Amino acid sequence: MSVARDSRLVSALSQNRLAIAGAAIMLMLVVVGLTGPWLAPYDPLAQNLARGLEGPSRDHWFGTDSFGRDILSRVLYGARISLLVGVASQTIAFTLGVFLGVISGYYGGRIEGLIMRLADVTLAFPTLLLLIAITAAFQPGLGVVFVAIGVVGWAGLARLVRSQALVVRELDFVQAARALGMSDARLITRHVLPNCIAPAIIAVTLGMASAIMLEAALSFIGLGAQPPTPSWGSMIADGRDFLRTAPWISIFPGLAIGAVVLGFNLFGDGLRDAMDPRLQGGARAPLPRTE
Amino acid sequence: MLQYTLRRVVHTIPVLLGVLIVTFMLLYIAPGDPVLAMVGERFDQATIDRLRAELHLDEPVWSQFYHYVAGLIRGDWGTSYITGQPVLDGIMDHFPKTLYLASVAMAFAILSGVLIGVVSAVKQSTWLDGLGMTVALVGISFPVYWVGLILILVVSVSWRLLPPSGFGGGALPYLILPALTLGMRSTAYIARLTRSSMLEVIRLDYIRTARAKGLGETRVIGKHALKAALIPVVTAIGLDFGAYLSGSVLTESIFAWPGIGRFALNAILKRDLPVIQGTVLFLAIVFVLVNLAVDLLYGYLDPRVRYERGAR
Repeated sequence: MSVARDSRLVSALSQNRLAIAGAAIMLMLVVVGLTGPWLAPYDPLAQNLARGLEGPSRDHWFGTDSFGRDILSRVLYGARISLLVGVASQTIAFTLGVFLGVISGYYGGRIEGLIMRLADVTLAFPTLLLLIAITAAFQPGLGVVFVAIGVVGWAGLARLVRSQALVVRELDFVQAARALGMSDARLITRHVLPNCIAPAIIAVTLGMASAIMLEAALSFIGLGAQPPTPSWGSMIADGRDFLRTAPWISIFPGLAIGAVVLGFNLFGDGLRDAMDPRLQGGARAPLPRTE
Repeated sequence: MLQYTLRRVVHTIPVLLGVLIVTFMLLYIAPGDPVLAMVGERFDQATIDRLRAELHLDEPVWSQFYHYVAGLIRGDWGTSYITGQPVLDGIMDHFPKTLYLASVAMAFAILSGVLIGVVSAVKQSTWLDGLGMTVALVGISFPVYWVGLILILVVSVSWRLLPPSGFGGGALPYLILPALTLGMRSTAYIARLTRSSMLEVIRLDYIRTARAKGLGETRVIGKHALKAALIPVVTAIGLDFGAYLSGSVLTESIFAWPGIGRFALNAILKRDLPVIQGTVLFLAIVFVLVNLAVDLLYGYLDPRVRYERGAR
């Protein structure tokens, strides 16, 4: 992307109030994720059975769960897990996707055929289903979830990067560098990679929302975070048995997930509008599906 | 069209083979001995050795894979560790209920999603558009299982209008909440897609011509514009089917709907690996075949696709 296009993009984004709101929510997730333990009024794991199932009050803004744990503190702490799952899984997906995408786009031929068929197989499974299968086969836990979401997420990115690499490798300056005898490794790292990476960075940033949703879903069905770790998904599951008497146990972590994903979606919408001049005036390309 | 169909069908074969390898590997790499999981506490070495030979576990991995695929073709999808019942029987028992729920959810999603999308596009930049797109954005952002729980809390617990869970022989009152929940994300998705597709179409020349001819607005939008705008929506609806299949695990668990999702989830909770493996394989095959059907339908609806994909 050229500098001129970058600055046009930033100026288009900065005029979109919804995109700014989305960016603010994303920033808030980062801040709360990093500082949650200091912001939390109570220890998120500390039990106080005498004060179990209390509704929202001045002492406990979001109420308490059946063990008397403070929901607000657990929601704040849960932001850290969501941030971590987003960053860890997308780092894995990014590394795998960019590496395999560039290799297949640059070299073409059999390597490309093999990598793209692998991508087809990965994309042949509904994402959540494949994740359920992988995490169920191993011992459930957050570590498996981080890796599984990352490993499953490579395919879409590899396709994206490959299509960019296919274009870049034919550009005059790349051809010229090759004619001058530059090695493949150097050509890829110096010229092809830097010119394919911007869309991949945008894709993994927006992919964090999907990763957060998937982790929450896996934790909800008991395959992600294990008790007493306060993941938003497992907190919603904790509240299921108390839906009639203490609905706040499930309501607040659900609102947290919704708010964060909404932030990413608003920013993603703004980014797409800014990048595609055809859409200016309000038409919006749909977001990719998250489970 | 025939050439395109053949090419798409042939393209599906390596994908299906890959799906088989992945599901086979699940059981192969899972920690724990499958024979011990089957016999439980009561076992003697002779039984273990016999079972190991019966299941071909003492053979090399490629041979095990061969027996796995041969078994699948014969209709032997393995046996549940917990109930001892054939996995395929369980799948066939539960899948129709999921299909029933998914069909109703999809019908709801298409009707409401297209309606919201069209109204938003026609009334672009008015409060109606704002409302429609806010609802769609919220629908995409909140987790389905959470929305399901909120629906139970409001509609069943507070208002006492509908039963909170169960199958009820498939009666309508039991169907409404799970179908709404399962269809919610698709509604939002279809609404956004219909709106953007519609906005592109209503700026095209032939729509201007239709208006210039003096056709009524309802006819211009309802007949001419909608027909073209729905082509990408049709594909999205088909591809969304995969989301229904995996979404059913979450929705069925909340509403105690006895479909394949809940069948899989119960197996997950008990680490009943053959059932997990079988349901994942079954749903993945359905997903691949639906994608194939959608691709063929898309090629039929929009001839450009046949040539573009043929040129690759």
